Amino acid sequence: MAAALATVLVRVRHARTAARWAAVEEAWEPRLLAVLTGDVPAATLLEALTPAERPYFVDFLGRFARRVTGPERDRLLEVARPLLPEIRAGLRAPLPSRRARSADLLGVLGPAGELADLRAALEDSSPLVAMVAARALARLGGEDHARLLVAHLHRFAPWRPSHLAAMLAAVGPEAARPLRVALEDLSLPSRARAVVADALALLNDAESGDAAVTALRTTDDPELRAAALRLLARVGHAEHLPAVREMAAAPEEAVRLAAVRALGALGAGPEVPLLAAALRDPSRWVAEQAARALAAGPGRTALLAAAGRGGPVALLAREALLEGGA
Amino acid sequence: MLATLLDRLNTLALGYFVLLNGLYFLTTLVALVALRRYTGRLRALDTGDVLHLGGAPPVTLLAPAYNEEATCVQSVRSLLALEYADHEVLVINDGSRDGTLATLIAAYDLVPATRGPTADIPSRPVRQLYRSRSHPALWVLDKENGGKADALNAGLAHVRTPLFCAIDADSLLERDALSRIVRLFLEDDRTVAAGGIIRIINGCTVRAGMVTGVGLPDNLLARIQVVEYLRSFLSGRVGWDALDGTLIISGAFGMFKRSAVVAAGGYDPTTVGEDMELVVRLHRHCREQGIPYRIAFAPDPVAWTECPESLRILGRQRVRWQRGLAEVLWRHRRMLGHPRYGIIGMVAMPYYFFLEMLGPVIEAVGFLAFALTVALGRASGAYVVAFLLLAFALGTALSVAAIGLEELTFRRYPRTSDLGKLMLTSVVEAVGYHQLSTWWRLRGLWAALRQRGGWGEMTRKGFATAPTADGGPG
Repeated sequence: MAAALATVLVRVRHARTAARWAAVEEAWEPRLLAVLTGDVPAATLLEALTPAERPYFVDFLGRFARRVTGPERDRLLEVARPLLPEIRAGLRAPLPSRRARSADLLGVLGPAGELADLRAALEDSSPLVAMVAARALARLGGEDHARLLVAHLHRFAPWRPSHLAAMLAAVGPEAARPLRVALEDLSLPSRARAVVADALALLNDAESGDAAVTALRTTDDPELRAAALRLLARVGHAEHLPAVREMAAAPEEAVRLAAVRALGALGAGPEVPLLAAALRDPSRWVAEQAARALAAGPGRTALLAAAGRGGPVALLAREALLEGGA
Repeated sequence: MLATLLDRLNTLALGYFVLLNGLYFLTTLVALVALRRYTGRLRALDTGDVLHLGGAPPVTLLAPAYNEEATCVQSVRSLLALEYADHEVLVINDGSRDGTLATLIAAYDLVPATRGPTADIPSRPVRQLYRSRSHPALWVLDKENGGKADALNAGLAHVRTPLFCAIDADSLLERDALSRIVRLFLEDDRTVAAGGIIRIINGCTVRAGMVTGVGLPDNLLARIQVVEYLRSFLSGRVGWDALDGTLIISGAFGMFKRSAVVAAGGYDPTTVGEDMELVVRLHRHCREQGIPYRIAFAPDPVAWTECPESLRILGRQRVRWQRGLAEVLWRHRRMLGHPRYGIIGMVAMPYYFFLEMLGPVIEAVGFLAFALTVALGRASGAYVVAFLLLAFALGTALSVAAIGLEELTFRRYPRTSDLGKLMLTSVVEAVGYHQLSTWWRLRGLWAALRQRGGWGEMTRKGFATAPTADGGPG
């Protein structure tokens, strides 16, 4: 009975709260729009708030801030400025989710003056808070933030590397220079350098080919080698081909796969024999990639010949020819 | 002699009763804390935002279909419409005897295609592979009938993406279900498998392959299953996940790392509990090979499924489930109480073995012993009434607690009247249905001993429910 009563009370309370805040937000919205268009001074909006309304207003502003840009956004940040101490106080809350929420709001509502807090949040004991702060810093862009994020990649060890690379790439083209430096930095863990290589590939950074070759030649780590090869597949040139060819015979499947993909992307006619040989690679994935590379490039004739011979190679060749190349 | 035996049996049943309900309450409490933490995390780290950033791996949806003519077109349409950057759909027609294949060919302009296997996972012969000309992300693999696990193996052998999602062809995934479940793989690269919540679609409004209005079914049996599912997923699976003891990922909706499943050997076609068997085997494989891994459950990615509304079909389903559970636990009994398998071997397996698998036997013996004790006048009337009331109250309280968890977190049933109906259903469930369920589970256990089974066909009404004026089912 007690559980049933509690459940009903939760429902009633939630329904009331939701209705109340929906009505309040409905009233806030036109007033905020008037501030954003410059018709009403920002201060008037805050003056009308009761202390209980302020946290909800912060959430409301946070949601709005993601939808506006330009001068409207500047005015919105002006509205939020007096609320920043309250948001910053949330960074000291005992609950990690509350601290993370504050870090997120600081990233959206206080980017100009709150960088120190966000940077400090990268060191928060909770990886969740650190990740939210990292994403906020990535969204703000800037070379310094790219460097800072690379230095804190160890905080996000459990995360999937492809996601971390996407986060670094979200910093924007200005991240390319510090990322190139990081890729060549032998003092960094291989995993971090692999993430950096993938980020540079996402940025299509044309100047990072040499750094990728350096990475290839200075590591035995298959993860880093594969990432460097993926980068070369995107931005490499003909002069990088010798380094790629060496990797086509690597013992690790992931490295051979990336090498074959890079050969397909960079090489022309001279690479056809190597790719044709890769059709017989013990790894199905490498062979399939070779078939796709041949189908997309000048190796189509070799692939057609393979398709007519029968066996598993023929099946791969037919599949690549039907579906198109890589 | 008889009196001593009855005393011992009554003690055994009472011990089981106390232990089982104690564990249910414990997992409910753990689930309460875990759900609060989880929803807080969801608020702080918006799923859409996480995936918008990029880095989400491509996914193949494996949808085995057997005699799904009534629902297959709509189900496939909803799978193709899922909000996910890079996914393909692979329907495996497991030798359907109805017009499933012809319906799909006509609806999606399927043409024969070439696509070689990517792994050596044995299955019954593949007759033909098709690709849709109108939806290039849709593939259909037509094979000889071999059962659900065999169909999944045939699909798995053709998966080209790092992750695959196994679903029932008749399940409807919510548009963001893939994004939400993939988040678990992004946040922890060790994740090899993850399950989402299954909700009952009966009583909901469905439009264009999507649930557009959530409601309760009028059918009492279906409504009881709504309560059962809430209890099982929000109290049970969330609780076990928080303890790192996830042993079951529903076959209706589970995401897996392809390489891990291939390394473990794919699905086992010799059991009807292939979904649970795979999860147990993944635990076993990773632990024995020393591979760091995680198997997780998330309560926010949702798959909707139609539940049986007749006792006959529901009974058949439950017999199959219990049989599957028994087969899996017996097959992996080596893990039972073995410290090498961590919490799985020391806590989760013993729980499922003694309380879930053998539970119906203990309950049945307990019922009989209790009845005999009363008949022989060895128990006072007050004791009998008190015990029955306690059992009833505990059963109801656990269900109500699960409804409370739903109310604290996701609130999917918007009408307050639905809340009242769910509460009443909890009361009804504890009387009669629970005992019926015990009977089905006993039969399932017996079937496991005798090794009988099959796909477990269910007559589907189809989801094409035209919305009615009150938003209820058509």
